[in-house]
Amino acid sequence: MDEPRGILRVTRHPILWGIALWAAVHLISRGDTASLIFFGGFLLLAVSGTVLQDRRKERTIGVD
Amino acid sequence: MTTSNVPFAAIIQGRNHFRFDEIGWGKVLAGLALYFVLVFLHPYLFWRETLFEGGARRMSTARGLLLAVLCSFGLALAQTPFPSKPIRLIVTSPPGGSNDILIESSGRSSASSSLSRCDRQPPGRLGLRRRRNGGEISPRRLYPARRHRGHARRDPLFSGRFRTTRSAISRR
Repeated sequence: MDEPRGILRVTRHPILWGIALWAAVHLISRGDTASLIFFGGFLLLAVSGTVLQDRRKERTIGVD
Repeated sequence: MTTSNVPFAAIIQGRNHFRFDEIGWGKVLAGLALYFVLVFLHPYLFWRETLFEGGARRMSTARGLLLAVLCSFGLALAQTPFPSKPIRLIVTSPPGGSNDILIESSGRSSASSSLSRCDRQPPGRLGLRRRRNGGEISPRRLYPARRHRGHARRDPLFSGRFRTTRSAISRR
């Protein structure tokens, strides 16, 4: 397997972490219920997505 | 494992190292440009102020334009250079004359800066016609031995040997 390059050296899931950061910052700045559901949903999906993707990859191709 | 889920974890643990040259200024500046544009347009796009509490609305038009121009530099740097693949410039003017000198010299100078090449169009009037048979050109069409009078009547573009004055840039 090729060595990871660029942003992949920082994290395996740059997009999901970007969405998580965006959602977290918006949750901090807006505390109403609608924002909590909207941005909290994105935050939950992004953070859990990184873990679930890693688990699926580990199951299918094993640890690199 | 040389990567990590949590950002910078693998680098801190020494399993990987950060290389800024692999990311590049273009992407960083493009990201910053997008950030500033979204912050500036946030009240108009999403009907909500940003963390700066109306700072974007108090921004004057001149400052907004200045910000947009500054942001455009980052977007420009993020683009791939054009042309992204070699192109072939074809000089279609007949040999000799001012047109030929101008076109060929400019074509060669632009071709020398990249992998592109500058070629002279083969004699005949092929450049003015759509290629047939998948680009295959028979030697008879490339170097016509003789034109008869009837041909000139059928084709108004042909009125003499090497009479092709239209320039064309062919991208292959």
